[in-house]
Amino acid sequence: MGSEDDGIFHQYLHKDHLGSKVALTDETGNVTAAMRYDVWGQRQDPRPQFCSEPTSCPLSPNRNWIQWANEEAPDWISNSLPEAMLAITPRGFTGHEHLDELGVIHMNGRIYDPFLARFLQADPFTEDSSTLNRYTYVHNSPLVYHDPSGYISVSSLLRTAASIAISVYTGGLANKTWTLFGSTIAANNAAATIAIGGAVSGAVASGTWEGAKWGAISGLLSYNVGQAIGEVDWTSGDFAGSGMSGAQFAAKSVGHGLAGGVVSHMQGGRFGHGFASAGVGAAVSPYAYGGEGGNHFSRGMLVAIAGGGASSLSGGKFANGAVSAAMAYAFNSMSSAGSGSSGRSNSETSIGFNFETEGLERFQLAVDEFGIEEMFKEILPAGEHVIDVRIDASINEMSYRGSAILVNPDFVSNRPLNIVASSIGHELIHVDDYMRGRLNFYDEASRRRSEHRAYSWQSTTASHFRLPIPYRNRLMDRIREHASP
Amino acid sequence: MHHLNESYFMRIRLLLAYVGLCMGAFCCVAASEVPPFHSVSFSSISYYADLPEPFGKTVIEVKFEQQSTIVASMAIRFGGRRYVVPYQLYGDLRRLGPPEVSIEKDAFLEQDHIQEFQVWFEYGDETGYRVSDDVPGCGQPCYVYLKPVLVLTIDDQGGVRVERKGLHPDLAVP
Repeated sequence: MGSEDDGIFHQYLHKDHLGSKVALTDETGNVTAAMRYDVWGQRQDPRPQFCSEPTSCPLSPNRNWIQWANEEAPDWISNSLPEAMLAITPRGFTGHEHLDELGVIHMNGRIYDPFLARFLQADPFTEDSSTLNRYTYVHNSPLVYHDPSGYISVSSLLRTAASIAISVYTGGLANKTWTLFGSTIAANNAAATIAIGGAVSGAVASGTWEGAKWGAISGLLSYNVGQAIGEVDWTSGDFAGSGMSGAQFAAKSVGHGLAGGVVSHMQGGRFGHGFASAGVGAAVSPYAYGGEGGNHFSRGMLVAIAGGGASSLSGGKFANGAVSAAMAYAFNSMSSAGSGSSGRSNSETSIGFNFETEGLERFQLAVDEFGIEEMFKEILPAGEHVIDVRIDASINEMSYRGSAILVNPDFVSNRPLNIVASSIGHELIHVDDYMRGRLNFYDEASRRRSEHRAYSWQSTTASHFRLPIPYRNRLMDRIREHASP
Repeated sequence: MHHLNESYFMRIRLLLAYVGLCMGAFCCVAASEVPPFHSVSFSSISYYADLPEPFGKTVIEVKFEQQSTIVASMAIRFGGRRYVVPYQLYGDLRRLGPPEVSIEKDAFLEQDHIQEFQVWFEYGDETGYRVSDDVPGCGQPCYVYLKPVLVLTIDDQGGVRVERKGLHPDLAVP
């Protein structure tokens, strides 16, 4: 705002997407002054018509721009658009103060030389271990990021964090069924959900449509790797609480690494960087379940940090690795989670039991007598499920390991058939939670939630199984014990 | 033409006959009524169970007040003796359901002697208890309904004690 003898007039400073001051307009919108900078912040004459001879435009010979670099104000500044603006503000590139006589920009924390495209002091913060040169400006990406403090690229950090958050959050969305304007939207088209989530995440991370495209591809690759690994008939096991055998777990990690490497390579990066970040992220994901109160979001963040670190160690960028690992984690979880939720009618689901030893005929009898398979066709994720049933005399009644059910043979042989059947259903609820990525054996909070759900299921189906009064009351005790604190 | 008319009238006659039959059937149904009846309540119900020694054949007797669902008396018979459950142990008890008997699990598995057994009765009205909202096939919020229970423990000397009377502790109003 300025003042004239005859009153008050307003002027408006305009800035571009990086916060650089680029134009001054009057109250009617006419441009009264302008500034222009090259990508690294050197001043340019904003009037393209001024440079009539290409030889006088050495830094941009094909365009009619004149550079103002590291010297006193050139002749063209006089009586030109920049002069009017300089009279109002010394601030220019990314909103920082230009010291034109010295040819540098004061970025508060440090002094930046737009001619060298480097800071004149070292960065005291190692924001990104891939950027070992502490004099670089915003990771050499001046069109995307800016440095408000002179120390770190806040925009870069925010973009990375937002991208990871979107990936992880989208992973959680696919496990749910939504109601919109009275219509139920089952997330049975997980691929579409993943593609959208990956695209948004990629777009936020890179700020480009190209990034959105690669985000969608990366998400779909991670999802398909998770599905492919899950469909293979592996030797059962529970490596690191993942519910997979060691071979399956290794294949999963390598599969995600390959997917990450391919995407990195197709984007013009190095295969090794993508392989390291996605592979390590997948490998550490079971360990991210540790700790009370851990949730899908916090685990995703831990996996992202691990992936980012792996990328840095392999010479890549931390941010890229973190985003890749977060995508692999979130969208792989979705592939495990399957589609839809409870109450879904699913004619494509089949359930069978694989008895590793004889002597469990009564187990199958209970399943048949009470229609367990039909009940759980509506509950388990779509697909063909063959549940391993193993004998383990050390457990009390029944238990689970990943997608396998462990049974005490005495329990199955001697207890009433309705109790056995209801207990089988209890364990299948755990299997369902495991298949949907909601249960990890080493995560106490997830175990408690699953027990709460399983005992609740037994209570609500008590009349179907004709459970006796003492049993129903005991179930209520168990529900209370496993309720959220 | 002659044949057509004959056929036409034949059809009308058949239709009228059918309508008449239907109306007749309707009148018969309308005229018949469910004969008046009066439901007679049981004055006593006995439940039999085979328990491990020393109980053996055990009978649980429940007597009701006349034409009522209110429990008048309860008794347990085993070993040739009859043990009356003191009224003050259960008090006002209405709409009693059939009992269920439970014994210690290990004793059941080992077919061993037992020192006591429990009798569980449900009675009265149901109360809802909220459980996990993520239960397949259950609404949101999801409720489980339980009735109050009377749990009696009977030892081998015929002693009776009340383990619980009322709603599950989590359901009871504080």
